[in-house]
Amino acid sequence: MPVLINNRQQIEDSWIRLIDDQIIEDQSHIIVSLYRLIRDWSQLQLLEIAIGVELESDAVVEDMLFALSEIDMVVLHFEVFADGRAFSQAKLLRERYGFSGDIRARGDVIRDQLAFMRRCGFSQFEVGDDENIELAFLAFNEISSAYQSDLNRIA
Amino acid sequence: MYVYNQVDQQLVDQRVEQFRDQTSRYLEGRLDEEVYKQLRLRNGLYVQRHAPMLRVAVPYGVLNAQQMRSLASIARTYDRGYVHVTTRQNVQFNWPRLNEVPEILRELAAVQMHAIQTSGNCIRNVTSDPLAGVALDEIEDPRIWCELIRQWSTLHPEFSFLPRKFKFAVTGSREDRVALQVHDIGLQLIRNELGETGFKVTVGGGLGRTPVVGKIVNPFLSRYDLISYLEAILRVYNLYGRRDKLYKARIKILVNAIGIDQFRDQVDSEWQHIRESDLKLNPLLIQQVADSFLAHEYKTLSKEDESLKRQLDTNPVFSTWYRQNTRNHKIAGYRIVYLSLKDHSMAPGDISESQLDAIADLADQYSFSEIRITYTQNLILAQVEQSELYQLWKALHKQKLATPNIATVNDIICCPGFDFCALANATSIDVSEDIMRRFDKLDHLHGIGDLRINISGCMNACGHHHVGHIGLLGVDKKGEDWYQITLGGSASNHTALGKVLGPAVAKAHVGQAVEDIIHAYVQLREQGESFLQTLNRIGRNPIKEKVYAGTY
Repeated sequence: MPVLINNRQQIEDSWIRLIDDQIIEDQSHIIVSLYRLIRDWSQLQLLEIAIGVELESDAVVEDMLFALSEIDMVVLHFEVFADGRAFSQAKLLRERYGFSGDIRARGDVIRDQLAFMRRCGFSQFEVGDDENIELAFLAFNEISSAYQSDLNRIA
Repeated sequence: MYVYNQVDQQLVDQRVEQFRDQTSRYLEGRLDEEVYKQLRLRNGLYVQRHAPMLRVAVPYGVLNAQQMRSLASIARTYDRGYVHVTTRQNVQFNWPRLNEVPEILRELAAVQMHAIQTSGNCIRNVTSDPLAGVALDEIEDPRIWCELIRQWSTLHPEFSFLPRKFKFAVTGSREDRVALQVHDIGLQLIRNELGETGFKVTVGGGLGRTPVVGKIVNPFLSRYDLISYLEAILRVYNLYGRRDKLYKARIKILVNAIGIDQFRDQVDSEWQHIRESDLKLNPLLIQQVADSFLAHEYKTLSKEDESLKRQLDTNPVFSTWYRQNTRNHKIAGYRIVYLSLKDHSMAPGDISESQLDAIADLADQYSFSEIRITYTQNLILAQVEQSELYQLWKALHKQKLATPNIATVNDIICCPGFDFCALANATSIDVSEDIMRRFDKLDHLHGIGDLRINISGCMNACGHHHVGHIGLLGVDKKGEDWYQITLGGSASNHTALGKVLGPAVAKAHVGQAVEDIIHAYVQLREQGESFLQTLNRIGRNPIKEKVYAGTY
C-alpha cells in the first residue's frame, strides 16, 4: 500500500477512489475518473460530499474546467515516472486556472521527483511503501535554490 | 566567460551531493535500475560498450584555462588520459568508474562545471557560435542569451521528463556555424526595421533516424519574450509530443504531423497566457547576466604587423597554417586561431591530458585564458595578437595541434562508433583514419579546397552524416561493416540533407570510394566552384558512374 504524504509529514487518506459504475453510498470524499465526472456531473454536483477527480496523463485539463470550481482535489496519475505530462497538467491547474485544492500525485511516484512535483503545484504524494519515508522528506530540499519562479507558496 | 554567483555555485554543489546519494542508493540496491538510469542520464552518465561514459557540459562551448586543467587532471586520475570533444561542444570521458563519478562531478563543480542535463529526455546543454563575440559578421553576442536559456532550462520542474531529448542552438552571426537548423530549436539573433534585435526561431530540426531541417515558427521574437515563448513551445511539446515510440518522440515528429502552421497556432495560444507573466525578461535582469561575463581587455593594435609579414614571407609551413587555421578577428591586430583535433595520431576530436594542460597554458599566455569548442570537433583560441602568432604556432606544432586542415577533407566530423558506443552498427574512427591518410599530402588537400566529410557509426547520426557534403553512415550487413554514402548535405545557412549515392560500400572499399568522389569533383569542377556548387550543376550521376564503375 502506498503511503500518503505532504511535503512535511505522513497524512491520513480520507478519500475513496470509485470505479466508474460503483454506487456512491455514505462516503464523504470520493475520487472519480474524468469520464465519470463528465458523464455523471448533473448528479455529482448535487451531492454534499467532497469530490476529487483523477486524470490520466493523456487527459486534457481543459476538459474538466466546467467543474473545477466545485472540485476539492485533483489526482494526477503517473503511469510511468518518466512520463512528464502530469507536471504540465499540475502547472496549468495552479497557474492558469487558479485551482487551490489539493493536487495529488499517484502511481509511479518516486522520491527523486518529489521536489519537481511540488514546484509544479502538487501538494500530496502517494509514495511507495518501499521508500524510507523519513528520507523521502529530505528530497524536497536537496536543491535549495531554483532559477525558475515556482509555486511553493501555493503548495 | 560567465562567472558563477553564489546561487549558481550552490545549485551545482547540491546537485553533486544529490547524485552521490542516488548513486550510493543504487549501488546498495535501494534504488531501482530503471529509475537510476533516468537519474544518471540527467547527470551525463551513459553506460557504453566497455564502461560508463560521462558527458560534461561546456555551456555554449566556452571554457577557461583552469577548467581545462581540471579536465586534464580528471583524465589522469579517473580515466585513461584523454577526453573526447563532441559535435555539441561538450566533452566526454570514456572510461570513468561508476562509483567514482560523484567525485569527478565534485571536482568539476569546484571549477564551475557540471554534467547536468547532458543526456536524458530533457533540455540539453545549449550550443552556440564558437566565434561569439569575435566574429566579423556578428549582430549581437549570443552568449548572454545562451546563459539565460541555461539558467531557465536547468532543473526546470516542468520540463525535466520530456518525450525525448531537446537541443537548442543560438547564434548572433549571419553565417551559421552551429548547425542551427538541425536543432529542436534554433535561435538566430537578427535586427528588424526599427533596429531592435530579436530572434528568428526555427523548430523541429534534427538528424537521427528521421532527419529534418527546422522550420520557421517565429520570424521575429522580441528579446523580452524569449523565455515565455520557449516555455510555450516546451509546454505544447511536453503535453502533445508522442511518447509511444522513442523514435517518434522528437518535436520534429509532432511538427511534421500537425504541420508548422498548426503548431505555430498551438504555441501562440499557449503563449498569450504567459507572455505578460513573470517570464517576461526585463532589461535589468538581462544586464545583470551580461555583467556576469568577464570582459577581455583588448589592446589598441595596428592592423598590420611587420614581424608577422616577415614570418609569413619566409616560412611557408607557418604561412600555410596561417592561411588554413586562422581567421579574421573583429578587432584590429587580433586573429582567431583554430586548433586542429584531426591529426591522425588521435581519433577525431580526442585530446590527451598533456595537450589539455598545454592548451590551458597557451590560452593563459595568448588568448585571455579562454578556449572555445567548435561543433566540428576542434578548438579555438579566439583572440590572439598577430605579433604572437608565430610563437603560438610553434607551440601548437609541438603539441600536434597545428595540422593545417581546418575545413578541409581531413577535418572530419566523426562519432566514437562501434569502438566505444553500444548503439553503433559499424566503426567510424578507422574509416576516418583511412580517408585522412589518402589526403595527407598538403598540396593535394589544399588543392581540393573546403569540403566537409561527416561519419556516423549508426543511424542515430551523432557524426551528422546527413549534413556532410559527403556523408558516411555505418550499416551492419550480416555482421560486416558497410557504409552508405550520401552527397550534398550541409549544416550552413542553406542547410540541406544529403542524398544517397548508391548501394552501400564495404569497409575495405569505402576509403577508395571517397577518394573517387573527390577526384571526380576535382576533374569536373569549374574555376572556383565548391563541391556543393559542382554537385548542384552536374547532379549525382557523373560522380556515381565513377564511384560504381569499379567492383564494389
